Amino acid sequence: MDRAEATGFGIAFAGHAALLAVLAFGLATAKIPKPQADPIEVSFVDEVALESQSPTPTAEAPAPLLAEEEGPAEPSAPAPMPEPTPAPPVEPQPQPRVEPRPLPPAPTPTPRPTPKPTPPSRPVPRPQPKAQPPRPAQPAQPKASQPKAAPKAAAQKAPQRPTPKAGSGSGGAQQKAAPNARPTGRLSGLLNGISDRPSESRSTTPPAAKAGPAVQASLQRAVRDQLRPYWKSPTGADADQLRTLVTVRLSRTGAVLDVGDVQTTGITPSNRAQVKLHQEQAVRAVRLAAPFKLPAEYYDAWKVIRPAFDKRLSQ
Amino acid sequence: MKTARSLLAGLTAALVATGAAAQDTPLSVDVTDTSAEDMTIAVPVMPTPAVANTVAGTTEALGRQVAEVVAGDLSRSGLFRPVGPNGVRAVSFPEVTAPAYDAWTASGAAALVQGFVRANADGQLTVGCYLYDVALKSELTRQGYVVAPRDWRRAAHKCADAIYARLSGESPFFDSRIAYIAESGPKNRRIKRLAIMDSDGANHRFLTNGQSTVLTPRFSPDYKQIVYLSYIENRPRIYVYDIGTGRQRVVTESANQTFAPRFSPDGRWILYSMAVGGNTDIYRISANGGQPQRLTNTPGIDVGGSYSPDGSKIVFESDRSGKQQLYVMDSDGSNQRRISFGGGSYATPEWSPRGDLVAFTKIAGNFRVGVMTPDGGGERLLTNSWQDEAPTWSPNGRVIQFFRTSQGRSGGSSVWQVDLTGVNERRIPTPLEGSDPTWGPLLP
Amino acid sequence: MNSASLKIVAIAAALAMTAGCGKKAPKELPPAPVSDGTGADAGTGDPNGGVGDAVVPGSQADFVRTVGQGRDRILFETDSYSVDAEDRAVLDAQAAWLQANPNVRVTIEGHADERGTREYNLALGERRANSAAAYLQSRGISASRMNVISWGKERPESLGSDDSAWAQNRRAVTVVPQ
Repeated sequence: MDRAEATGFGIAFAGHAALLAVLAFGLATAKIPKPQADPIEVSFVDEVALESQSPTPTAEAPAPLLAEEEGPAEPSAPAPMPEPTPAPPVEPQPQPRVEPRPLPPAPTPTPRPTPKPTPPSRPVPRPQPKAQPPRPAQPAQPKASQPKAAPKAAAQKAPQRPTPKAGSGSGGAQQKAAPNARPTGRLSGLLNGISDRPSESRSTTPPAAKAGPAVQASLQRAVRDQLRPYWKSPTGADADQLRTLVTVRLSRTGAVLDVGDVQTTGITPSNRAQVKLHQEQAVRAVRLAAPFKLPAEYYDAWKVIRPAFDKRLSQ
Repeated sequence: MKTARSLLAGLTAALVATGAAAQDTPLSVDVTDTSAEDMTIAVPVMPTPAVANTVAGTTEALGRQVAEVVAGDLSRSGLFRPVGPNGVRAVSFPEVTAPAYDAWTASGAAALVQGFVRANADGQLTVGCYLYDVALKSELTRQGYVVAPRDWRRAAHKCADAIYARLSGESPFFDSRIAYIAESGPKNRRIKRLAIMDSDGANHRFLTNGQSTVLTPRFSPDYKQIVYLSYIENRPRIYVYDIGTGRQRVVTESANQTFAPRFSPDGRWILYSMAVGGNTDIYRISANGGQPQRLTNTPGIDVGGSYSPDGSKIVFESDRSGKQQLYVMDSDGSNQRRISFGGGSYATPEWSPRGDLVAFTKIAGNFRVGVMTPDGGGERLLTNSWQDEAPTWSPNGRVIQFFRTSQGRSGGSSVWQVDLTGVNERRIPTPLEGSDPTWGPLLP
Repeated sequence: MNSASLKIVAIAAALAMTAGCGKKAPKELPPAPVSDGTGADAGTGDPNGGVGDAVVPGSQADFVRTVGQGRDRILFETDSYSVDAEDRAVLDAQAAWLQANPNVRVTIEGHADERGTREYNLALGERRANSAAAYLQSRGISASRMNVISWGKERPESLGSDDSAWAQNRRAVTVVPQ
């Protein structure tokens, strides 16, 4: 724990202890708790993030960006893409594929005649260049850094009212932005007031890159939506018990830097033969889904993703 | 309420504080495939570099037939939705190794099978087989087969096997044969003949003429022999039939009825059951003859049996507990223990060639085919009909065939197959009605 | 054409095979008597036993006439092979006929209903036939005069798929071979 964290923790703890004490005292004296008139709407996120958007409420200056400062109409960096809704990318691959054709025009794929008359049929292995590993040609695509890719649905859900989980009281770029301030083409109120410039914060803790639970949930949804079209699980006995996790490091443009730490759980004697294929398919989905379109300002939150691939049988 | 909220807030703060130390915590995402759609595979006609005549037809005609057999196999596996060869675009010979990915992407195919058929100067046929990932635009596997023209179907099955193995992760199984009992005639005078066919029903042959009732065939591991029960001379005994010569011999001389024969996985032993004075037990005898060895010795009916793939154990059926149940023993008869404990009775156990499961017939009202692990766990029923009986495994242990009997005076039987997930149930077409299917290993 | 010629070859092979078997066991009667295994059950007279009322002593027809119609067999409960009092009365009559025809050998066929698996039913049929044979033996019939064979569920007496049909099919039938 560094000092800032310790401070943050101390403050949080002290504050809540005090609050608790006050409440307890107040309740004790009042005896009857006032029935809450309006139940608080709780939106559950997938998981509680380990870090809130700003773990140190008192750290230096507030994050430099506020909704008023920047509107979607005048984006700082690259021009916004015209499409209003970021559909999951279907074919992210630009055409020029760097694929060295193994055999130029006249292939005459000759599997050596080797006419040994003994066994009736026999696989003839060919000394051919192995199908080259699918290199997702990724010429640093500037579009990928477009903020518009921010998960729309998530934005809607971004709590207006402070919710127990998300609104843990700390400030940040997230919930202040009144989404209806400017009707823009973007669904993402979440991104209002967010720059995609690298943070200029002087704070020791990156103010915006720490995605709060809601942002995290949105990012998860965005990644999932981009992976799902390419994820095709093997089928077969117990295939639905397999779950493959891969760790993917992404560049700021959403390109895959590397894929590693592939782990599969749920292996049974019946599905053991499919483990390798399961992993291969998982990596394939990552390769095909790249480059990922994710908001650059949250790069720290998604520079490493760890998707878990599985299958659920319908019915 | 407020208290709860503040508690939660406190907890969050605490989590935040502790979690901050972990830099670059990966963003976890669950990606679940919920589609029930089978993978679409385009199987265009396989071109030939030069049209030539063979005893099995022209290479051009064979190119279409091979593609048809490949598509048929892939379809029967239940895992894929092959499209073609009819109705998909034709490919030129040079295109075989340089697929027009964009065209196939547009067609919606996820994978593409291309190949060619060429007649060689020596009269042999070369069949090339290529599998491509259309989305990745990359080759997944390729195989070439040199076969006599009349064996073109085997080349097609091997091509389908290569594709199936690459796309499913499982071992191949199409290039294999099935023996079964072809049935005809009224229920009380059924004519039963031994017959064999390829795994897709092609190359069907009757091996016996039906004068004597025959039952329960099993291939030897090398496909050279079939052991089965015959009522020749009204004496039910087990015989070994040599497919090459058409000759057969009695396995063991006995005044008592012998039945339920099985080969061991190495082909060196024959397991059988013998009824003596109302008591049936299991024996084994060397496939070359000799002195039989008794493996079970209980007052009940111990019958059938099936070796584990390594030959070290045998799963069999016994009613020593009062009802038919499954038991496992070492191959010398020691260490007998019961493995089935569910309601109802269990019969006809068959050990998967992969060793992971035992298939059986469950009798609880109707007969249903199911599987369980060799220690009796994970019981799953795969079929649900009036009477499904006697499962037999595909060589890769992923598909099960069995026979289904229909109810009533005209009730007949037919051969069916189902995959291990219990879906993709389908009838295997046979010229007559059929029962007692037995699936051999991959052809050598 | 290919499969046709294959068929011819197969049939020829099969014929050759059975011919070979016939040679090996020439003392037995024709090679295809199988369908007569339950021939007595039809009750339409007997093809070999006699014509009209002329019943050859010691024949199947004589046996059935003596022990009574339908008393060439005993029936069993589901999964059972026990011989009850009624069965014993039937078997006593059969034993008496066998005593009267000391040179006749019989085959006792055991059967099961269709609601059992094939191989288990083969064992069960043998158990039932053996029960009948054991009782006959206890009534003084030499075991050497009785041949026991099981047909399992392969030769039902009644073709239906209901309780009454199955009850008729769970049986041990004493048959006098021609």
